[in-house]
Amino acid sequence: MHFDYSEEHELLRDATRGAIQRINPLGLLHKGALANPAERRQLWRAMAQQGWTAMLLGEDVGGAGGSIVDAMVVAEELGATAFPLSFLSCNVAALTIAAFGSQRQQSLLPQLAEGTSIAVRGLSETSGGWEPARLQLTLSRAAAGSWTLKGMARLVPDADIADFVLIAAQGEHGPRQILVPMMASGISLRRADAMDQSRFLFDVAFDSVGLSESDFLGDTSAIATELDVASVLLAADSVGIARQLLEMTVQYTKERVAFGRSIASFQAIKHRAADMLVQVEASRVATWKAAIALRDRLPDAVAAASIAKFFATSAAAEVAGQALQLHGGIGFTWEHDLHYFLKRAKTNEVLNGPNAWHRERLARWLDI
Amino acid sequence: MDLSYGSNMEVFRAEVRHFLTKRWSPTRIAEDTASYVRAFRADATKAGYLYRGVPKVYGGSEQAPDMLKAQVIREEFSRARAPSEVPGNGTTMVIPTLLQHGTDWQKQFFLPPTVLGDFLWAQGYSEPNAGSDLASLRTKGELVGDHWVINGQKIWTSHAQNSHYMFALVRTEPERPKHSGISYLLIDLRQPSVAIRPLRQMTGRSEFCEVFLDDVHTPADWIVGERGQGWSISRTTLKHERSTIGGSERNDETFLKLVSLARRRSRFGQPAIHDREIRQKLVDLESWILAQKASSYRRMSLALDERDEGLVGLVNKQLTTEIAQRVAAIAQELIGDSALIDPMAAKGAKRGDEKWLDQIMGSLAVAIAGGASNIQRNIIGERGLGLPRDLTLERDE
Repeated sequence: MHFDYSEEHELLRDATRGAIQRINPLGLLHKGALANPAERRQLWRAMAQQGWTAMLLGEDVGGAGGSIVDAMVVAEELGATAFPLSFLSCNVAALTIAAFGSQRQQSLLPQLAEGTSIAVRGLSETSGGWEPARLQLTLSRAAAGSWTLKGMARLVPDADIADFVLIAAQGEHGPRQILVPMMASGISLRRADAMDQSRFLFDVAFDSVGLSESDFLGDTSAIATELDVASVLLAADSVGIARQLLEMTVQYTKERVAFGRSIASFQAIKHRAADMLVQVEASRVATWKAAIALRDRLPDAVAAASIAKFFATSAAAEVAGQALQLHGGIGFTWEHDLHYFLKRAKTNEVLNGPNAWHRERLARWLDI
Repeated sequence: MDLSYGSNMEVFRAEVRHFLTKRWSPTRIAEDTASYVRAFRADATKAGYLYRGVPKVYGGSEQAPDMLKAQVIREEFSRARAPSEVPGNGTTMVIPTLLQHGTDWQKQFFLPPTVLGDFLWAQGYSEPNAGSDLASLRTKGELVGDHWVINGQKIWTSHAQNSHYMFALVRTEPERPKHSGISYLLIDLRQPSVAIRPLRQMTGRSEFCEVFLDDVHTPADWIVGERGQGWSISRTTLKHERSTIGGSERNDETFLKLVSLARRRSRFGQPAIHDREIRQKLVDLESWILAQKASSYRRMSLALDERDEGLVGLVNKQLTTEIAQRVAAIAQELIGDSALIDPMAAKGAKRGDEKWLDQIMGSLAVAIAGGASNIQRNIIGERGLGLPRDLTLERDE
């Protein structure tokens, strides 16, 4: 029984923080430096150098050989700094390829680890849910051994610099997962006008894209596993956001003087800050629990993952709202960093399946 | 990071279960519940499951401290619905206090009957003018010859009407500043100078009391610790009280009862359990329950590592309050017209869904009892987040 970071986790957390500090992601966002895909590819390499693009891959393919718990530790730090590249998306994609990919697809893994090749996973469906029966992308058989893919994958992170995108589509006998090469003809991208300024999200349109059998991997069961892994990493991202917002709020309210004293000395402020702390700590332990449940394949892993997802993302959104209140007018400006975190928090509520869907999933698991 | 108890504990768990299967048979207790329960407790203590921190000479089982074993015991006894230690202040507050601070004769005199449940205890802390600001209490104690003479009034004294003794915070050093003027005295409630008046709560029940102390006498050596040390002694016990109120044990049961209620009652022409809004609220509640459970594990883990638990205990109490309020909100939605009925009108099995009003109203008290939520928030903000303390006209020593 050790329900806390191990020494190794603490080292990992500290090393991650140090690396992020040197990268200075918010500084890059301020400068608008990352609008250029070449800059983001470079940042991707920096990510890969830290081992972040292949945390869940085995060391034999150049990965960090970590567990979902290790990835969670890193994810929280990236959330706390509004890191603009999608750690979650590339790790879920890598994990899927490693678990379900063909030999040819698996030969990509060392390059994913090095950051010389990029594979991302779409985290949203136009239907707003994750029911396999409601997938918006469709496959139809063209000739023997070939298919065409039609539809749109929405809000795919970093698709413009990706070499492959992993998506799920409705096939004739059920959902299939496909690793689509971005070079294939019929693919067009449009940067989504996303509210979340800390991420680069794209709508990817597939207009009768030709696929062969060798592009397929995995099915419904794979989708469910990825969903759970993504849920935990997204929850950790939200825990990081909430933690950072609380820290910003504590600092600001201590410094800000009104009515002759630091506004942090007023009870209304202290009480709201205390409520924020409760939210942060509750969502933290819910996320830890889910990570352990997935890592150890505990019977309640599915429930724990959905709980972590809806609980931590709602908590972060609430904390963001409170943080804004406690910052007052300045928190509402574009110049202040708060909006990056608030918008990211709100976006997390919707990514990877809306919270209402995750709640219903839990309800069915509880048999109510 | 690891939530398992380890294989040793699973072996131990099997032993505990085996004991319970053999020794706790609720179906047999029709004739004399009290003596069956008493005998069971004695057996369970002899087996090392209850009163583990109490030396054998005082009636305990004197076991080496082992948090995981204690947790396993709690889980298994709860699962079997078997009684554990005698519930109430005796177990949670008096026993730890006397073990830590009591004199030998105090331990010899008070502990064994407290362990058996023959001495029941009331907590004499709060006063009409001293609740959240407990240290401003005014009940006076004066040493006259070989007795303390006590005058004053206590309030919110739970179950005082059924208690034999009271442990009380009394101001015995009037010249000393606020906190250091308080002593921890033990008082026999069964004397004419003690007047106990049960207070009727909003729910209609009378679970707590006013206790009027009019020249009450208690022997000079019924003080625990030194004169003026009462506040620090009580800090130990209040820490215990906060942790028990913050516990996560009964939540799962409450959740299942709420689900049952939702299956039975209708909403918009269908069983409420099929109503989307109710389902979402139920699973939201469940997520808070599981978050609190996880937070309790975190607390246990910190204690196992002998690390400072920081704010986790306080966070857990806030979570308990949050859970109680959500349960109340859902129950209120589900019971419909039953919410118009006085929950005290019918008795026992004849009570309908209006019995949920006890929980609904009680949920309002959870945020007050055992450390008011807003005080807790102050502590979290000040000690946890380092925010500046409130301005005050007093100087705290």
